[in-house]
Amino acid sequence: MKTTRMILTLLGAAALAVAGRATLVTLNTSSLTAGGTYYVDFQLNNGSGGAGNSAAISGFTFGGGGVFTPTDIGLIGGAAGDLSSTVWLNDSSPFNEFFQAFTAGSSLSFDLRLSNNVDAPIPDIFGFAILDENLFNLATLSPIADQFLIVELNGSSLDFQAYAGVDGVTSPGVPESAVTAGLVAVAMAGLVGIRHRMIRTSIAA
Amino acid sequence: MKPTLNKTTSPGRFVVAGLCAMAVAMARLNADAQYDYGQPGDKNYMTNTVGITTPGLGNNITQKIIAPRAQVNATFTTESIAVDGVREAAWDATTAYPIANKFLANMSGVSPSATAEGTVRMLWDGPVLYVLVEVTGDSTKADTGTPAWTAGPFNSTTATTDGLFVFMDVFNDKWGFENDTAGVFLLGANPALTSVTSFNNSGIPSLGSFFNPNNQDYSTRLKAFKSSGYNAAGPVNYTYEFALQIEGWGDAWDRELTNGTKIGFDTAIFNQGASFTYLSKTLYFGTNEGGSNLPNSERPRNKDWGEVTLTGWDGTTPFAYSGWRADEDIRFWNSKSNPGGASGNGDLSVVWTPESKALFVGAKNDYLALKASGTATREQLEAAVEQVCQTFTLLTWGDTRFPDPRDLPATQTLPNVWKFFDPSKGTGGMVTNLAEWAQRKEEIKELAQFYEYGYKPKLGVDYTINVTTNAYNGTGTSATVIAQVIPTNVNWIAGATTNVTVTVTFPTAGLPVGQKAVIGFSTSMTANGIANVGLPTNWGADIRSDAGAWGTPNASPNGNTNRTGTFYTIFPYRRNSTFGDVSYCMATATGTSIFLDILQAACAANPALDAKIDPTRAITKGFSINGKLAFIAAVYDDRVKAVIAGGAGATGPANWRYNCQGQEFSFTGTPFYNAGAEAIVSHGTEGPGNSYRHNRVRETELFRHFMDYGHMYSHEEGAYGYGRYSRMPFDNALLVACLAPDRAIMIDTNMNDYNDGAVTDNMSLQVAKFVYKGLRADPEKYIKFNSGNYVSTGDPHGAAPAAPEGRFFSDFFYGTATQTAADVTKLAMDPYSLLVCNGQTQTPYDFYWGGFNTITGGTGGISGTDGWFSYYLNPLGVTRGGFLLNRRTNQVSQQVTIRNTSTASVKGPIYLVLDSLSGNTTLVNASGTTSGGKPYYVASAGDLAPGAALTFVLTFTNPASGGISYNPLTPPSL
Repeated sequence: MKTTRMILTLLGAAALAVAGRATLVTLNTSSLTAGGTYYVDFQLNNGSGGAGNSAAISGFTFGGGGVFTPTDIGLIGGAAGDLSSTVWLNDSSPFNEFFQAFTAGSSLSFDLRLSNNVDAPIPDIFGFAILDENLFNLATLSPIADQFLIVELNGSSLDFQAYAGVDGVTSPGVPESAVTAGLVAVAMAGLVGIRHRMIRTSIAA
Repeated sequence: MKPTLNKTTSPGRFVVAGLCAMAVAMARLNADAQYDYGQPGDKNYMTNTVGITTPGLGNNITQKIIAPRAQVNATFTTESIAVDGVREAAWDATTAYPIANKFLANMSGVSPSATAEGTVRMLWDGPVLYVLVEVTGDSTKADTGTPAWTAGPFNSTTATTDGLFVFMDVFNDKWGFENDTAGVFLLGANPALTSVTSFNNSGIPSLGSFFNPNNQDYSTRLKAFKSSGYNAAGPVNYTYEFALQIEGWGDAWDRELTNGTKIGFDTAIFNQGASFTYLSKTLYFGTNEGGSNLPNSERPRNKDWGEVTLTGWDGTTPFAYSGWRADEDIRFWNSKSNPGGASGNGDLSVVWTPESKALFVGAKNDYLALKASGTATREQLEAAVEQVCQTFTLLTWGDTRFPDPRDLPATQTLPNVWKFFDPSKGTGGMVTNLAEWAQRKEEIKELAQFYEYGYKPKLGVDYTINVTTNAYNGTGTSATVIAQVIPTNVNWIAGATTNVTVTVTFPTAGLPVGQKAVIGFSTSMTANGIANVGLPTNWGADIRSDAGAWGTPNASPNGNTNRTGTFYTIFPYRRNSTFGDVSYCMATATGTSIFLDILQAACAANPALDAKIDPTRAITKGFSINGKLAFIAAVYDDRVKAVIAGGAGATGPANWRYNCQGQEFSFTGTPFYNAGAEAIVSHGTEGPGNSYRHNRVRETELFRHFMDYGHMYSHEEGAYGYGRYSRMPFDNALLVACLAPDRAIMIDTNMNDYNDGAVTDNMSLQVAKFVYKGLRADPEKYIKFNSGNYVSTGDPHGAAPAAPEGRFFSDFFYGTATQTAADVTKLAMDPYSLLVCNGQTQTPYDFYWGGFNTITGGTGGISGTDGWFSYYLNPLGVTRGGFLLNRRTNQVSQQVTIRNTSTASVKGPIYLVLDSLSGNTTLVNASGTTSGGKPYYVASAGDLAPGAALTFVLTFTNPASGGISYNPLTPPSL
């Protein structure tokens, strides 16, 4: 606990750098086993070791579900926080991951703030997945790593690549401008609550 | 490094030089053991034609010489030696070495019962080696006849010529052609003789020997000779005394002479009609020396000549004075080999820079004045000699658009085809895209014109075309077009308008409906849909005489001499002009282009003809000298889409830097096997000296400036070839590469025609393959080998059956499918890419030359990749995404996109090689690993269209710690 707390503090400082548009991400999770235990999984992985990037994820809602108790959190590399408040990630290590158990409801939503500094030739990358009770990724239609959302941080406008799950979980709602036409079509099936939150203030630690 | 001009001659120079030379001599002692031929990487003992032939078999059966060379010591003397055929007291201090290896007079076998034999003794005084031979067992006087050098066997009992054959290889460098420092001649036993003789090839009047002061291509090494005349009563029947200059000349003006210095030497006592008795030679060679049993000075079998070692000098005693080196320089200066020297006055030459010429002329005049004064001290004369020698070495070619050969850096391996000679060109001096490759090709071709072939006239600049007869009406089997070729005389002077006739024979079969016939120059493929036009003849000639090459060589410094042919009528030869000195090769290449110009103009004006042929697509073919011509014609005209070069070799596709002499092959079990091919010793490739001595017109005179006058067969340490051709800023493999990426070349040569390009032509094509690959083209589509089998008897200089060629080029040009499966297999096979060396475990390219990595400048050996052969253009952009972990698979994935950023299709397969992949992971979905152990992924088996992209996912094992890193490469091949 003490170690986690220290990381949280440090990440809090780092998260001050996460500024810009917050994106509300909403996922229809009605196909998950109601009341079943799953894990929210975030990765923010370093590309080429260049300019740093951070993510702050907060405002979690679970559509009738909730944070699993007792708290079950995994923190790897530059990860900190928890679902009850804010999750912070930075790319201080090659692989940085946060996961925490939750009880499934009809939906899952959160606010996502990402910095967007260029790391070349390989960009930093943000990924969002859901793990089952065995900590295995639920299968999705993403090209890599069974993710529901992939965002490459390459300095240009953020491109939110959203993917549906193969077992009925629809792809998360993200800003339309960031979603390809094909993916939007998938998302439309169960997409709710898409909106931007133009929050330009820093996230408090 | 250039020699300085303040070096002076003194006994001290010889002391210092002597110490150095002793070290060198010691170092060479081991290497100087009997030549074993088969050493990989052996660069020191290369001859360019023959080892020795097997008695009784054809001239292409070579064998090793394994007998040790006779060893003879020469004793230093300060005595004045009178060369008078009389053994004076000074000879008593020497050792008498037996001359006792006896053969039949026709050299068809040994002759132990022969009576003629003798001894040889040697002295040296510094610059001169004195030889005394005492002959016994030949009591029959026979000293008035003249040997028939080319109409042997020379064993007539009626002719009357006894005497000594003398063989000397001044630098002991064992070049197999007679050259300016190695030769053979006969000293007739007649004491009244004032001249000596040697083999003379009437077809090659420049061939001589170093005894002949009238041949400017050779140093005059025979200083004096005298026979005592016969004494039938014996015991010595006659004594011969002669003196040979052993100093360096040309580049070797400061050659060290000291104890341990070795000189190649042999002598044979010829007893008319009875026997040959040699000092060293232990193998007979009947009927294999140019049709005569006489020692053939054109191609001396010098590997078993004896060796003379200089001994007995105390290291301080001054050598005898000699002005010979300066005299030789001046003799050359005033000869026809000094371009532009008129009427025996080299001072009129205009090919040198004024500065370098003034230095030499001043030194020459100073020396001659001192020499004539009769009052000069030895020190003054020696200093003047040194000035002459050094300023001679510093003579610099006057056309300075590119550096004098001496000022170019030596590169023993092939120059980087991707690196511009002009570093301001390309991207950082390198070729990085197709547009820059086009520029680099033009630069390579420009360098080859400047240094080797002479400049090719350009349509619209140097000449225009006016078609005068163009009457083809759509009927008949052929069409004849006549045109005036009108010189502009912009770069050439006094050219005359000339009518040129081109006759096209239309295909008889094989031309697909709706297609126009490709123009074949001497291809004889009319049954394969290819029209035929004769490769231009009489646009020049393969002239081997000085007069034919240069007219009256020194008559007019700037005049038009009488080099004949259509080309030289339109573009007159001028010896002292960069533009005017155009080789026979380029003359014919120009003719080929003009033929195509005429046909294009004719088609534009005549729809009936235009419906039949396509003069923008041509193929050239030739064999031997015509193979060289066909090759150059293709290199210098993009309309020539393919060339078949047969037995072309030097001046054609073969590289100047590489000579295959001494390489050993076993073709056992290969498709090329015939009896004898289980143990072949290659006698090597024709070299640049052949041009200098034999063929005055194949290259320019500047080309010969790569060789040192007076020592043109000098050998740079570390080189396979000779001369200073390691300084050429290109080589002929780069000319082959100029056909890339979309033109074809085929070799058509018997597998063991070594003198004419077997091995070396093929090697150039193999090197060029890497350029095609580097340009993302398919080399297997464009580079073909039509190799004949091993020819075990007779002259191997011949071509393979041509039928597969016609079928291949039908398919190549017209998209037909006429080739058989056997054709495809045969034409893809280079015999020297097979494992025929080192116990059939390696190719000759790998075993002898360190593989293509070494050949292209790499230092990592056969398996290295630092040579330029591994370079490639990269129109493929690679975009990599980030890494994400999948906890279900416990693997990390990454999305990668490869995009063709060029406007040309990229040949597939499209590979992504993960170079330097971090050791904490492996590529799970690798398609394989390269020979270097790098994982790769095949992104596409097929080609990638311009602008198209391939996106795929790489999957890695999850690293226990750390990140994943690698360098993405997209090579054209693995």
